[in-house]
Amino acid sequence: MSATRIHEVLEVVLFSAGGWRVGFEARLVRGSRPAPGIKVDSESGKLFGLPPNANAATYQYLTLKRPQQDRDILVAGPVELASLPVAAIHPLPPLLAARTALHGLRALLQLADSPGDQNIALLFDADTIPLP
Amino acid sequence: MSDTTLDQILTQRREANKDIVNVDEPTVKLVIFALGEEWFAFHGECIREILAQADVFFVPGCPPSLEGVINVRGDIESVIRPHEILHLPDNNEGRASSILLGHGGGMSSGIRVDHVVDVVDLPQSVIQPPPGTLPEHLHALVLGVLRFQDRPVAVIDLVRMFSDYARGLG
Repeated sequence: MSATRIHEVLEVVLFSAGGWRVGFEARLVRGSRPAPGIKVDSESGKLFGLPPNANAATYQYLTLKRPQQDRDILVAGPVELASLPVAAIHPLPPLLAARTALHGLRALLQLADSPGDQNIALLFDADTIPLP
Repeated sequence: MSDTTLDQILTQRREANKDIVNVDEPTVKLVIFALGEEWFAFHGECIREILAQADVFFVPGCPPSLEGVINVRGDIESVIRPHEILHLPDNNEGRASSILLGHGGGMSSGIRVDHVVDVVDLPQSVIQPPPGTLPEHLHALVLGVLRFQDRPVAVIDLVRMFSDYARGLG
């Protein structure tokens, strides 16, 4: 049966890049660990085509599962694991999908921080973002 | 006193009705809107809704003509500004405007317009073929032209506009 059950959720790892909340499917992330001593990161935003992470409070390494070898990327915190209901996950509108310059953008997430306050986060495909 | 009887009058009326020819001609529903000083229209069947107010969420990494996304009762739609694809100045930021929710060619999107002039049913015959004097960039986009409230209106092919936009025009 292909009908979507209303209780279905997707586990995502959320973090920050270029001032935006960004996520990967949790199944593609091995884990995360602190990146002590890093104060400025000018590279990780480029992975997604976003501006550099400036003035983030904390940085962490995310370990992505890759077929050949796991890869670490530096991201801005906070890093969190969230279970998002299917209804909060939206395919890219076709014109946006056609014109976006972001690398590996797959979906938009609606994060409801509080009633009436909804924010958009960007879900990327951890399998296809070009790693240096 | 008149010699005319009711029977005569009713017979006369019935005969007169026989002479009435049904001249109804096919009509077309148009959503007429303004972009700056210019008026355009989309076919009504291409426009699902007209939103007077909607919060637009900016999405990074998009061209300036893609304003962002809106949430329409749980569905996320893009919002494009068609000014560039129509070669019009885009200087209406911040003023009251509307979003037309359009669909066609398997795509859908919001389209930011300066204001909606009217939604009308008009005889199909009022739409004339595009004139030869039409600017070249509009040749492929304009299905026809008409006059409405003494102003020229170009009927835009929404499917073509979406596909051109997706190909990187505008």
